[in-house]
Formats: sequence, structure tokens, C-alpha cells
Amino acid sequence: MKTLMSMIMFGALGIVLTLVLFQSVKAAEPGAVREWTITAQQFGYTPATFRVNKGDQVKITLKAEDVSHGFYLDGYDVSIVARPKEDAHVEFDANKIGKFPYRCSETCGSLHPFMVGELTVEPNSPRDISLTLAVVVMVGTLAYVKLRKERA
Amino acid sequence: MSAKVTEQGWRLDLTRYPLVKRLLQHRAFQLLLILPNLFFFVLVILTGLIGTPVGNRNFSIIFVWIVWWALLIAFMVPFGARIWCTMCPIPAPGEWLDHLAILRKGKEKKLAIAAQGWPKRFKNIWLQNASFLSVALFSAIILTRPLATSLVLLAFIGLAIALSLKFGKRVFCRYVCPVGGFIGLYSMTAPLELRVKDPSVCLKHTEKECIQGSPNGYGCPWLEYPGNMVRNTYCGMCTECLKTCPKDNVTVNLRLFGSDLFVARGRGLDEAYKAFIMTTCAVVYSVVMLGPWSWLKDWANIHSIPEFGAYAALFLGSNLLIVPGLWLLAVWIGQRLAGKPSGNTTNAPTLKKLWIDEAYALVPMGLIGWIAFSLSFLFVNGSYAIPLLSDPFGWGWNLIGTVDFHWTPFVPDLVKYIQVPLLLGGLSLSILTAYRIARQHFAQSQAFRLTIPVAALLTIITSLFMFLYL
Repeated sequence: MKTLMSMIMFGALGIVLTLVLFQSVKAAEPGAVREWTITAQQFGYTPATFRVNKGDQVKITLKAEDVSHGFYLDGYDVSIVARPKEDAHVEFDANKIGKFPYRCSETCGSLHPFMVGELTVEPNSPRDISLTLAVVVMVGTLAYVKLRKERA
Repeated sequence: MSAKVTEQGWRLDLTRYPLVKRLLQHRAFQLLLILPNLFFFVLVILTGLIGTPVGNRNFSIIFVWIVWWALLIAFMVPFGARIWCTMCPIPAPGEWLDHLAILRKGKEKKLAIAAQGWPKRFKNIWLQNASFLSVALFSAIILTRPLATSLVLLAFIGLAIALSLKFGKRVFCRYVCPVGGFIGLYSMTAPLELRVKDPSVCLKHTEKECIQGSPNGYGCPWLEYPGNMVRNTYCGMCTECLKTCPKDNVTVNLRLFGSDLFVARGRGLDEAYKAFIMTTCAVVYSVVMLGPWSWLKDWANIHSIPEFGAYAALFLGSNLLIVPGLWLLAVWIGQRLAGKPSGNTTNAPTLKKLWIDEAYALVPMGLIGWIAFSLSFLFVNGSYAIPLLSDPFGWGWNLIGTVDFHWTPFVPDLVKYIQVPLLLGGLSLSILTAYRIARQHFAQSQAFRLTIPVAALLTIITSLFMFLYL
């Protein structure tokens, strides 16, 4: 009985989690022009994270505070380089959903390979679905061990 | 058909193939694997010492911490167990000095010098836990500064030589090496093992060349007795016992993944902590190295002493207290849900015993967590290796014409689609492992109830990885 209750609880938790996550997805309002000025300094970006909606036109100005820094956006083939007192600009359509790290593409010091920021294009369904799948896998694996017949 | 199902499960004896057997028994086998790695190792040391200080333009940083690391964690350990230990060049100079021989069988110290001389309180992997945590704590320095990488590797080789000369055997590998500790833990998952064919043959055979040595080879450098070995954890796969056994009773088997995780003998708190530390570090590295929080990178990079102190407290606290504490809480809840074992209740496992045993369920998830972390790093930064083939020191050479190859991330937006199935698979395997370990103590329904909170915690850890990557 305890077992059945536990499984029902975990199953319900998975369903509630899924509903909550996909409700938040519906709230997105696409189509706006989003302008961001990103300041790069060893070894990070300000803002370090920003969010837009799918379909938004994103305009980015990159400022380098100390040495030259790059802005390479995973998945969007966007790459610019700013130098001190020499800003760089780029525009692109946020037409892919999910979280996309942006990275420094100009060697800027010891932690250069770790200089990362994050653009999230809502709805971040890949993450929502993956988190839901984690719950499903847990419940599924528990159900498997519960229901399978063990060899004597 | 040479495959068979033993008490331990399916096994395929690879020494049934004459070519494989001859290769493994040949004295040059290990040396042939070590030599190319020794060449790269020397290059790593030299480039670190006298090459450019810019990490991503120096062979030492890119080839050790990206290429070698990814190969180790994603291929060598999960598929080859301690195959890296077979070919690792770090203990070789010490071993050669101790043996006064390289290829032929040289002299060797008596087993008692290492077995009795090495302090009893360190006959475990606590030193390896400490050495791994030390390297990991300073990883923002060691992984990015070529000089630091070289000095750390030189320290390892110096210590390995000193311990070889003092104790003989591979005392450094067995008890000190920070890499060897986690390779041992994760090698339990590998589908490869070195074992005796028939333990009863060993029981009747009194000479024990496998531990004493013979003209054909050395006594086990890892201080193991092959006749008694049931897990990969401390077998360095040096193949010396294949050379020394006069009964032809040692073999290398293919087997199913994860076979050792269910072997109850040999489990201990030191190994459990290794599992906690490795899982925690995979999460912490993902946060610090791959996350967007530059202040945290500054802390890890010793921007200031108070900030680094805070980072050290967080890092060590999460590794040594928070994650083990959460695991203890999950197991405690599970134990309460499970109730007392049916039948002979005097054999009821203590909470500590369950905490330790269930910690091995973290092994599949920890290993896959490290693979997921390393893949994102390899795919994004692996291209730094291409120009370094032409210019390992960063001095402007162009040996093979690749120096102008620019940093080009390899399908970085697709990495998550590899990471997610891996992490989900790791979650499922870890839950199954937790349950099977619980079954060693409890009846089916009780084991299931014990597993529920453990599975919930494993799911939270998996979700944390996903939250960081997606």
C-alpha cells in the first residue's frame, strides 16, 4: 500500500511539474525587438544571462572593458569581437528555442575558455521536457523494479 | 563458443585467443603502451615549463585537460577499466629505478616492505580522496596555467619515484594518485576484468608467484592477490600475474557493464566518499567552469584570499558534508520506509552500512555526469588542439601546417541532445543499482521502499545537471 501511494505521489508530481512548466511556456509573447548591451570583462559578461522570446529580433552591442573579447553564440552562428573603446554590434532573429551559451572567441587570459554567458530563448522546452523526462524515468525505473519478477 | 555464464554472470575469456594471450604475457606489452604516453608526458612537462603561458595555446593544457581527460573519462574508464593505469607513464621512472630494469625482469623489493612498511591507517583511498580534492580545489589554476599543470605532474612523478624507491611496488598508484582513486571506483562499471579462472587452483597452489614474483614477472605491483580479487577497483591491469602464474590460471574477461557494483565484499567508507566526491565535483565543475557566474570563477581563480576561502569552504563543504549528508538523509528515510528485514533481524544492516553500500549507486550517475560535463568541454574547445599539433609550445611554429586553424566549436548546440539521454540513462542505471544493492539486505518490497527516497535524490541530482546544461 505504501508502495502504491509512493508511486501515485511521484506520478502526480511528474504530471503537476509538466503542467506547470508548459503553462509558463504559454505565457511567452513573441515578436518584440530586444536590445541588449553586453559588457565583457575578464572572465565574464554583464549581463551574464538574458532571456528573449522565440521570434524576437535581438540586437546586441558588445563592449570590451579591459582587453579584446568575443561573443560567439552557440547554435546561431553569431560571432563578433569588441576591442576596448571599439564596440561591436550584431542582430539576429531568435528563431531557435532553448538555452544557448555565448562564449568569448578571443583569447583573453587564463580563464578564457570558461568565459561564458547564457541566452535563453523562451519557451525553453528542451529543458522543460528533459526535466519532465527525468521524473518519468525515475517513476518508470521504480515501476520496472516493482513489477518485474525476480529470479529465485 | 568461449563465452560462458559463471556465478558472476556472463564472461568471455579473451586469453582463449592465442594472439591475445601471447600479447598479454609478453614482457614488452606494458612498455609498448607506456612509451608513446611517456613521449607525450615529456612534451606536456616541457611545454608547460617553457612554452607560452597562454593556456589554450599551450599543448600541456589542451592535451591533458581536454584531449586526455575526455578520452579517459568517456572511453578508457567505462570500457577499459584501469587500462589507463596500464599505460600511465607517471610511475614508470620510479619502477624502472626500483627494478634497475626496463624491459627484462629486474630485481624487486620484498612484498613485506610495502605491505608492512606503508602505514596501516593509509591502506585505503582516503589519501586519494584528499589528493583529488586538493587538485580539484585548485583546478581553476591547474587547468588553465601550463606551468601549474607541469609542476603538478612533476610533483606526481617525484612522489611516485620516492615511494617506489622506499617501498617498491606501485604504492603511489594504489594509495596516493588522485586520478587512480576515481579510476578504481569507476572501473567497476567496465566490461573488462582481470581475474583468476578458478580460485580453487589458487587455494591449492602454495608458491603464489602472483604475489611473490617469478623469473617471468613481478609480484603484483598493486599489492593485490589475484586469487582473491572480485572487483576491478585495485587491479592496475599491469598483466604481471598473467606472466607469473605457472598454472595458467589468470585471464582477462569481457563481461557485462557494471558487474562489480553488486559485489558486497570490499565496500568501505573511503570508497563511498570517493563516490560522493566525484558526483559532487561533476556538478561543481559544471557550475564553475561551464556556468555564466563569473564571480564564482573569480573566487575559484584566487581573485582574493577571502573569496577563495569562501569558495574552498563551499567546495569542501559540499563534497564532504552536504552531499554525503543528503545521501544519509535519503537512506535514513528509506530505511524507515523499509522497516526491519524479515526473518533474522539480528542481521539488520545499520544505517552506516546502508549509507555506504547505497553510495555505490552514485557510480553510474557520477561517471555519466563526468562524461556529460567533459563532452560539452570537448565539443566546444577540442579544436584548440589542432593548431597545437603544429605549435605545441606556442612559439609560432607551423610543423604540419595547422597553426592557422581557428577555434571552431563542434556542433555546440547539439551536445545537449547527447547529454540528456546519457543523464537519463545514468539516472535509470543508478536507481537500478540502488535497488539491487538494497536487495542484498532486504526482501523485494522493503528494498523497493528503501530505493524510493534514494531515487528521488538521484533525480534531483540529474535535474541539476539538466538545469545547468539546458
